[in-house]
Amino acid sequence: MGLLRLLQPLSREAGREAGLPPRLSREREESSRLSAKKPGEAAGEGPYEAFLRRQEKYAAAVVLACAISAALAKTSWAGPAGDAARGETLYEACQDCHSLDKNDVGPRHRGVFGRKAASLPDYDYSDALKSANIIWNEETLDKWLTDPQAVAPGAKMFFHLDSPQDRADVIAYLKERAK
Amino acid sequence: MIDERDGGLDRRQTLKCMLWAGTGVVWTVAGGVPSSRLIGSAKAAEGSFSFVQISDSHIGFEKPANPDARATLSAAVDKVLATPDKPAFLIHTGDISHTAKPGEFDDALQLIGRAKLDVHYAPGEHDILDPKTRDAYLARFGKGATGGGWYAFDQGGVHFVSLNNVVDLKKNGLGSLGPEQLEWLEGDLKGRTDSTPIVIFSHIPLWMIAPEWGWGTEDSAQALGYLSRFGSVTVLNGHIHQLMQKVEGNVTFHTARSTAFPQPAPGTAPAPGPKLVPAGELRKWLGVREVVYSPSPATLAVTDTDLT
Ligand code: HEC
Repeated sequence: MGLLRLLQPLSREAGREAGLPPRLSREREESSRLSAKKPGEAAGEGPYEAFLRRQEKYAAAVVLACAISAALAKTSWAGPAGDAARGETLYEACQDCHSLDKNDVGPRHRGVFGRKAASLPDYDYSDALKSANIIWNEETLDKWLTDPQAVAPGAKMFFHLDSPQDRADVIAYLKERAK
Repeated sequence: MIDERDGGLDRRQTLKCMLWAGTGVVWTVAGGVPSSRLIGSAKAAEGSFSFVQISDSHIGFEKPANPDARATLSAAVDKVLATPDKPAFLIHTGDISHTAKPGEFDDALQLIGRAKLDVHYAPGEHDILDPKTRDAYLARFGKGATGGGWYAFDQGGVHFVSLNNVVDLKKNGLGSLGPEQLEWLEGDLKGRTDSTPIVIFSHIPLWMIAPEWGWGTEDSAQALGYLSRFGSVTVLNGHIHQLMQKVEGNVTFHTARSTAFPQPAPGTAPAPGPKLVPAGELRKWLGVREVVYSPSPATLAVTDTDLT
């Protein structure tokens, strides 16, 4: 997630009208002003060529940034990064009511990440969760684990995790290891 | 009315003792003031009787924290059978089963039946999940109970009340008794004299232990209000799978160990739930409780024993 935040200013600039972003145009002005005396510049390369070279690099960076942010934008989730290994330990608490492969007091969890809420045919969900119309992802799971009754008043789960990091870790466990 | 056989302990020392001794201390409660002494000095007085509390057997639970909850319930029954003075009856303070399946209920009945004693149950939230499981629970364990699953009985001058606080759970899973049950309780206690020793048992603690974990009962204050005039009130609960005690006026509260798996102490883990301990240590964390009643002076002595 740190990556996403780092790249955001860049992609925002890239989204401006086709002209050069402010930082680059300022650089161009500078380099044309100083070009005659600039020591590191290749012989015979004028300020315009130097600009083109930089612009190529910039374009490549924009393409990369767009690709990464597009991949990440699938979830707009900006909570803490989860540690699946720690999440596995925390999952012991969930085992009061859940297993990965067998319905317990609560529904089985394998594959729950990305699944529609209340969609197992062989578990008897509350009407509250059945009508909630949620897809389980980082954001919806974080809300659910913060306070299930706030997400679906009347749901049958009475359990929550106070710490955002604990929630992120359990969610990472469900996402990565309970596929 | 106060049992002072052990003399030198003041209230504070007593409480410390409760916290750290865990097992091996007999609790003697009279007139709401507890005192403790080491096991072994309990003498059977004329007219006294004892009963045993088991709790949270979670039959059907088979995860790492205890792969075989049947075996540990069976070990608990062995402890009951080994009690020198035969208990008058057992109470089970709920979460008999893990997922309220008929097969789990029936296995529990069979295992507990080995004790050949009357058993008085209170339901846990793992026993009543919805109307269907409530009916399955009541059919097996609700003998003499109202449709809501609560009831009272008397034994040797002590009045026992079994409450159901696991239906209609509140925030974070807090228990609740509800107006109908509270009204019933008020009526049940009405005609009784203040000197009648009262034992109340239910699954979820009737005192606020950790509201953020749902370890308490939202409307218990009202119930305790009806009990305030009685000289000796003992509250026995389960749910939290560990020993805790508290004295408030004339009321002494005790939570019991589970026979299946321990749970963390409040504040020591991010959430309640099964606590994994090294396999060889599990039975140290599980236990049964014997309560000895002696009539004059009226005392209830509570002894907790682990399953090792
Ligand atoms: C005290 C029992 C209990 C505990 C502990 C518990 N849950 Fe649940 N959970 C339930 C119940 C019951 C449901 C079904 C809710 C309904 O139908 O309203 C549920 C539903 C869910 C669902 C929805 C699944 C689906 O198929 O739509 C998710 C996700 C979930 N729980 C995650 C967790 C996680 C993660 C933990 C531990 C951090 C946890 N739960 C702890 C009882 C519990």
